[in-house]
Amino acid sequence: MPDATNTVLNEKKLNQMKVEILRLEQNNLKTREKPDGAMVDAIKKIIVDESKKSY
Amino acid sequence: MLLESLRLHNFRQYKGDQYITFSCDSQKNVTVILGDNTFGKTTLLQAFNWCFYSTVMLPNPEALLNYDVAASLREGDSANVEVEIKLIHSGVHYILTRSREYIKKSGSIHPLQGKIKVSYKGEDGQTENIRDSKVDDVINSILPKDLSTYFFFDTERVGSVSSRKDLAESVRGLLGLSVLANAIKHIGTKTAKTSVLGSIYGSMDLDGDQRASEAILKIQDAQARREVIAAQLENIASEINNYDGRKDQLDTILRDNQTTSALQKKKEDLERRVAQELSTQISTIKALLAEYSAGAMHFYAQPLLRRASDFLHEAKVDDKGIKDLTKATLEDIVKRGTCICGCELSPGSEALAHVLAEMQYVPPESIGNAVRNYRSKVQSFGSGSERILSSIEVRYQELYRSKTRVQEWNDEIEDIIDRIKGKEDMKKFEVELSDVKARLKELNAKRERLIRDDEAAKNKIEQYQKVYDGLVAVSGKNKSTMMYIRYAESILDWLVSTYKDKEGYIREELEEKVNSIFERMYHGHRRVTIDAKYQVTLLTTISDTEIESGESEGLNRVKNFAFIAGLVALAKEKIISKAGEQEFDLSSEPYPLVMDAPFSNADETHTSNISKVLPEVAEQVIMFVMQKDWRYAEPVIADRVGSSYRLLKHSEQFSELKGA
Repeated sequence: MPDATNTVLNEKKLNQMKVEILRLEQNNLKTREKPDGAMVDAIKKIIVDESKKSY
Repeated sequence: MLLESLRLHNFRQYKGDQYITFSCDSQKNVTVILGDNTFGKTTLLQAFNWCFYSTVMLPNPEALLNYDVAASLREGDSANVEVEIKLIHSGVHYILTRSREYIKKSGSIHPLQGKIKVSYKGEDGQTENIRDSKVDDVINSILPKDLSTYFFFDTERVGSVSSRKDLAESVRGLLGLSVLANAIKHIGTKTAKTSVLGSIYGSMDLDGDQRASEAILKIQDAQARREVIAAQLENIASEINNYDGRKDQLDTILRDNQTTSALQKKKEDLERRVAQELSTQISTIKALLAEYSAGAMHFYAQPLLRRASDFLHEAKVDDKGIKDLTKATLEDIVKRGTCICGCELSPGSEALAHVLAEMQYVPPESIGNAVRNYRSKVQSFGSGSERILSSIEVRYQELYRSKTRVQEWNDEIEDIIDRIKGKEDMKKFEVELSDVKARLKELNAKRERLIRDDEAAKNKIEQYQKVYDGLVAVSGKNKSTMMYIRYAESILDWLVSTYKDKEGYIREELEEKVNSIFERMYHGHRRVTIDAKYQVTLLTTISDTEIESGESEGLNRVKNFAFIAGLVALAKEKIISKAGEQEFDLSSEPYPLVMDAPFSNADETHTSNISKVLPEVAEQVIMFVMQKDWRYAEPVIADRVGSSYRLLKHSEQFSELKGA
């Protein structure tokens, strides 16, 4: 049985996610374009898409 | 953001088209518009608010059309009000144009729907219009409305910027913390289904595994409990902070006013004694009056009685007679013929001769007996008068002494009243301090209980997390999902710790900057502190102790400017958040300061100091100033002025902007 708690995170991906999420938040703070639900979806997409990438 | 120009068309008293071009030169970054009261300075500031946000803080805000223009309209005619602002934001040139048409119908002027148009110059130099649905978003991205009051600053209408309730939120927004706070909120928790974490957990394929489901429910319950506890702890911490602050204030007040407190107690004691003494006086007066009523006759009769006694003493009065025996009694005995001793009183008898002889010594032939009786009565009548006099004298002396005491106490009370005049009633502070201490004790006990509960919930989460991880990690899909969760949790941890770091740094930096600016603006010895909610307090040092100081209108004005200048100065700085090798700039854009009557209520030294500091810390300063204040500002700010205008008031309905 794989132990998910021991999953090793990719630092590069992690940092990219952080920056993308902050950029998304900063942009939305200015435009107020996306409501909370849309922001949650957008952040989730950043995490899923970035974690699937292979560098 | 830099403001390039303002165009007004029939906006209130600005009839026709009128323009201001603002200085965008970094060395001469000040634009001054001079005008006295009622010339239209505040209207200029409100033109910014109207153009950006369609709000106007003026009397009769719907009536924007110039009165002369409105009066000249004929039935069915219409006229337009327009404000246009040109600005540069993030290197892009924008033009904001807000307009509103007014029509005359049935003799009255009616406003029609307003319009806003935002355009910008594209990279190719061509002007592009922003879509209507995006206009408000773009304006908010240039200058969020909730921050605008700090930059379109109405000095006379803003009491204290630094004690506004929404201050913390605004400062966080201005200094970039809202980016982190919003990201933290959106990533959320496992229990919040509408958060990133909640959503990812919700997509976990549990394959009907009842135990995993139960484990996640337990985790979610415990997490929910922790969130409730966290909210309660935050409230309690805030309450404790408030009560601690109040306790310090009360301690200081009571320490500083120990003498007042002692005098207050002494005054109360004296007032009690006066009340008791007055009550005693009333009793004494009652007793004195009772004695007087009973003994006055005896006392006042004494001189007359003494004179009568003296007279009778000198008179030769034979007192051979038998007391109270009268002539009528003896005549009756003679008539009866038998004496009371039983002897026959026959004519010529010796017994009759004795009785007849006795008649010579009884009234009316003799008053000896009556005088004897009178003397006896006088003696008994006068016997108590000395005692009454003596008692009345004693009571009178008591009253005299009592009244003297009351007078002395009242004098002392008056003296104390004079000494504590204007000082507060210390007793109420003592009572409040006692309440505050009791409340703090309760809150601390409650906090400890909550911390224990939180620890138990945390242990529960860890326990069930292990169960859950072991169960759900079996499926491949869940492995991916678990990976996303790990990333989300890791990002959340980073966001939370970055937020804490940056917030602490920002508050310290802000306090340092505000103090540095305040020192340059204020010609006195005071310091400011900024608390966790960004509330600013002025402190003064007395005998090596810093205490909260009072604020005059002028001092409050300087504090406001120092705070805003500190914010503007900090907003200009880069606030970088590092994510590995990558850097992210959290800081916002530098903003201009547009100020109406900035020197109102400031003395000439403060005016001069503020004038020197503001152009140094702000990107651009636009100020509407009264001529009288300008005399003190001009010598220090003249070198920084790149553009200046003068307001001419032709009538109540017509002011004109003239380049100076």
